Amino acid sequence: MNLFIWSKHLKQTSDPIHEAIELRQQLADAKATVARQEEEIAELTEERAKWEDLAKSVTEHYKNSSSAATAAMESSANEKQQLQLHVASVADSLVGQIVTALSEAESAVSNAIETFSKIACDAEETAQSAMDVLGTGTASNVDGIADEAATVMGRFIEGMLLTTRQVGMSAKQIEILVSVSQKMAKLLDDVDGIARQTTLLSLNATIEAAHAGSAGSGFSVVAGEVRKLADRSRQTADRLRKLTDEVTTHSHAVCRDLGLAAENCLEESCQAQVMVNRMLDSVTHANSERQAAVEILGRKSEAISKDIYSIMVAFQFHDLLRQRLEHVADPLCTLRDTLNGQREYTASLDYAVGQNSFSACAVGTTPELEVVNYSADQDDNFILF
Amino acid sequence: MAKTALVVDDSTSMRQMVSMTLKGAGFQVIEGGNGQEGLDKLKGAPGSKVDLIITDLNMPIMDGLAFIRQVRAQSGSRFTPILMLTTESGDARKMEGKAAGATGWIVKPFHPDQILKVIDKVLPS
Repeated sequence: MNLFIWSKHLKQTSDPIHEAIELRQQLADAKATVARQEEEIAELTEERAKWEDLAKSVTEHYKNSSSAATAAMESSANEKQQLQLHVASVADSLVGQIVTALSEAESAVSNAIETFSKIACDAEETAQSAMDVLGTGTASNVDGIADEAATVMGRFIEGMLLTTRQVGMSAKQIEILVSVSQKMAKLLDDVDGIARQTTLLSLNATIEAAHAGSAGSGFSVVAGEVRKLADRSRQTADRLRKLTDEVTTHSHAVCRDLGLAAENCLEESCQAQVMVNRMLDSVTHANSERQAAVEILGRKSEAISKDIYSIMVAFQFHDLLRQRLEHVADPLCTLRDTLNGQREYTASLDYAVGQNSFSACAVGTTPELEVVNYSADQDDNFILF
Repeated sequence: MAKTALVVDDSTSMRQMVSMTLKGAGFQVIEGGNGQEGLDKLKGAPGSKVDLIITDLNMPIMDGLAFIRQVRAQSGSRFTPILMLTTESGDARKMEGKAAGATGWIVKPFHPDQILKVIDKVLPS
């Protein structure tokens, strides 16, 4: 190509010789240049061969490396999926345990509250009953009964004492009657003496009538009648004496019986009063002790109610704990759902890539081309391996 | 006649505690596990008459604020005292409760005497 140019140029030269010399020189230069270029070409060819060898070597190495990288990324993807599966499983397990724990705790607290509620109700009812007993209930009735019994017993004792005094007065009246009877007996003695003197007088009259003879016969009859009256007076006095003796005897007996009855009555009354007082003291003491016990019971019941209220306050921390655990469980649920979603999505992409790879291979495209196109900036969700 | 209280809380144990306290004070108590159940119980209350409502804030299905708004929208319970009983203690939440129509705000844990004192203040005798 250069010789043709130079030949054309030579024809156009006005000084052919000079031009021929120049052309020869130029030809020599051109030859030298050609020789130098041929050497350079040879060197470049040699260099190219070296680079081609190197390129082959690099290509081979790159192929090997890309295969290793592909295998590593496949392995990494598998490990990632396994890790996602494991974390999702752990999250699911934790959520399940939290939910179960919350449910069991709720149930336990609910049962405990129900039990404490029943205890509190019983305690309040007990306290109320105790207060009722202390207020208008049995305790005050017992006090009233004791007071009433003491009053009745006092009246009874007073009645017995009054009766005793009346018995004593009756005995004195009877003694007066005995004294009257004794006076009547003395009067009967006087009547008896009068009757004896009357009898003597009638005898004397009868004697004097006998001395008077027939003139004294009438007087003798009167004297006989007077003697009969004297006898009847004496007999009547004797009967009255016997009756007064009986009255005196019976009166003494009545006095004695009345005295004994009064003594017995007084003694029994005193003993009864002592016994009743002792019983009332016992009842009062027992009632006092019962009142004290009831008061203690009431106070303890109130204390139980307060304690249960405190327990209720403490149980409310269960609700706080529940809410905090729910705050833990909610992110875990989200994590679990996200991981499960990612895993399913990755699996679907794996399936799609598998299909595409099969098609690509079928038309002769090497899969390694995908490695060259891989960019580290790609989203993990879109990793094909 | 005993007054009726509606207790709304998703925690069974909390409902029991509040109910126990109210029953001890002579209330007749009905319960709901969330705001929607509370509304249903409110409509089905004996004589549709509820004198007091105590509700939690954070509940599933319908929370306490939505529940209060629904209650206030009903003519029969526009002036019924409503107490919020919740673990939330932030001022912003309290303002939300007030805006929704809550009468009072009690922070858990509560003492029975404390809740009864608050009830005495909000409930006309």
